[in-house]
Amino acid sequence: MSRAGRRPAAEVLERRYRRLLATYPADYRAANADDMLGVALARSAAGRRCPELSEAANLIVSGLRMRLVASLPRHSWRDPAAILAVACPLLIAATAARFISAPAWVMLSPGSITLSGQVQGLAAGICSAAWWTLVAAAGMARWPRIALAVAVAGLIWQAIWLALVSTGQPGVLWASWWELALALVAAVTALACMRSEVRLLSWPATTAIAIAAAVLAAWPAAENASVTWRRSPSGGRVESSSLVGFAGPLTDGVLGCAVIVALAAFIRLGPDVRRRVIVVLLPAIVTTALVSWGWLGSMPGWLASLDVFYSGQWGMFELVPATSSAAGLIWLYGWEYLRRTRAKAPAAAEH
Amino acid sequence: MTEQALREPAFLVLTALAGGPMHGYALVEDVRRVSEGRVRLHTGTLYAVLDRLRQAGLVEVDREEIVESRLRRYYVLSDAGAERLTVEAERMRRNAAAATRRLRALRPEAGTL
Repeated sequence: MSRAGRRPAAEVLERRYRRLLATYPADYRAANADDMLGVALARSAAGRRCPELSEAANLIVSGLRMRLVASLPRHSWRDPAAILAVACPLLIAATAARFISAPAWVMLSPGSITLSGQVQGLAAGICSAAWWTLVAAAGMARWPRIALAVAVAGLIWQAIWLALVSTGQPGVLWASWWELALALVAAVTALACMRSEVRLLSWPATTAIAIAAAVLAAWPAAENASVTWRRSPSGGRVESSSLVGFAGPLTDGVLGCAVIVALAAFIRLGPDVRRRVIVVLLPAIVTTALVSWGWLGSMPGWLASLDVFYSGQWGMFELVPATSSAAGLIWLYGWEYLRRTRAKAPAAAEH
Repeated sequence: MTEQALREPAFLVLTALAGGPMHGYALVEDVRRVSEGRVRLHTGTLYAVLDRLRQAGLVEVDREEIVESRLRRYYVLSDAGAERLTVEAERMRRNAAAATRRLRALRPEAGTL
């Protein structure tokens, strides 16, 4: 006869239930195991030595689910996710700005130089930005089916497009892979917004952030709006500005308006969301500013504007805010996880 | 905050606690009684529901006792919980009334619903 066979049934059953309760996190077990054990034993028929199969499965699943939930980031993750869901489409829109070496109305007007590649690039960028804005808006409005359907369709299209354009041209894949990565982040963050119990960003705040970012995305266009290119009689091209003397104040004004709107949106955020936005976005702003300053400073005589970047350079440049934002998110998650763990420790000790 | 409809186990636990403070096993038994034997809560499900209701402030711990050298915790419905149960019961009553009206129109013999 085994040792378990010699013991009273109740004792064996209790020991087996305790083993099942080991699937719960330690702090939860310390607070609730005795109470749960009492219920589980009372539910069991007299004389049983093994837990019911359904009861055992339920305890295992509940315990593992609690462990999983405890290990997942909660609201701390969702706030920056909501911010990024709004920011991603606008970053995509900003990338479209690299095609704006001349304003679209000049490119399309009769007699002007046809720059079809730039127009197509600009149009594709704007369409892509509009698509992911729709995903973000559906996420913020809690329309899960629309958000999911549009996000999946967008990702499939982006992947197919990347595969098609990079066939036989590996260089294109290197220059454009980040567009798919950005789309993936946009999809995930938009869907993550819906996990929150409350709407993290009010519609006015969302609109204000969107306007500010859109204005910033249009900044290179505003800078170039004063420049027109016309074909010269000799076959070359001549640049002239319709806003001589106003280009500087115009760009300063656009930038100033964007900053004011962004500040207004920031003030409208809740204090917790504000703090998390700072943690996530500040590294991106600082590193991007430093890299821009260093890059432009290394090219004396060049126009002090980001439209000096080539396509591949843009790809590399956009990695800076992307990676520093990701670093901010990881740091935020780690810090808040640590804080939660420390807060739980005294509570568990009390029990 | 957008309030989602309570799931059946949560509704039944609140209904049971509306009868007064109860410990875990008493809750399991009362839920079975209230649901006419249809729902018998597993231990894991019961405590998951209680955790969610406590986090939402709908249920509170009333007291703890040591019975046969084991902790026994009693739960009680909070004021917010009583309010929420009232709202939920009224919502379900309206839904049931609407369904009954439609069914009467569809099948007059179902008027005894």
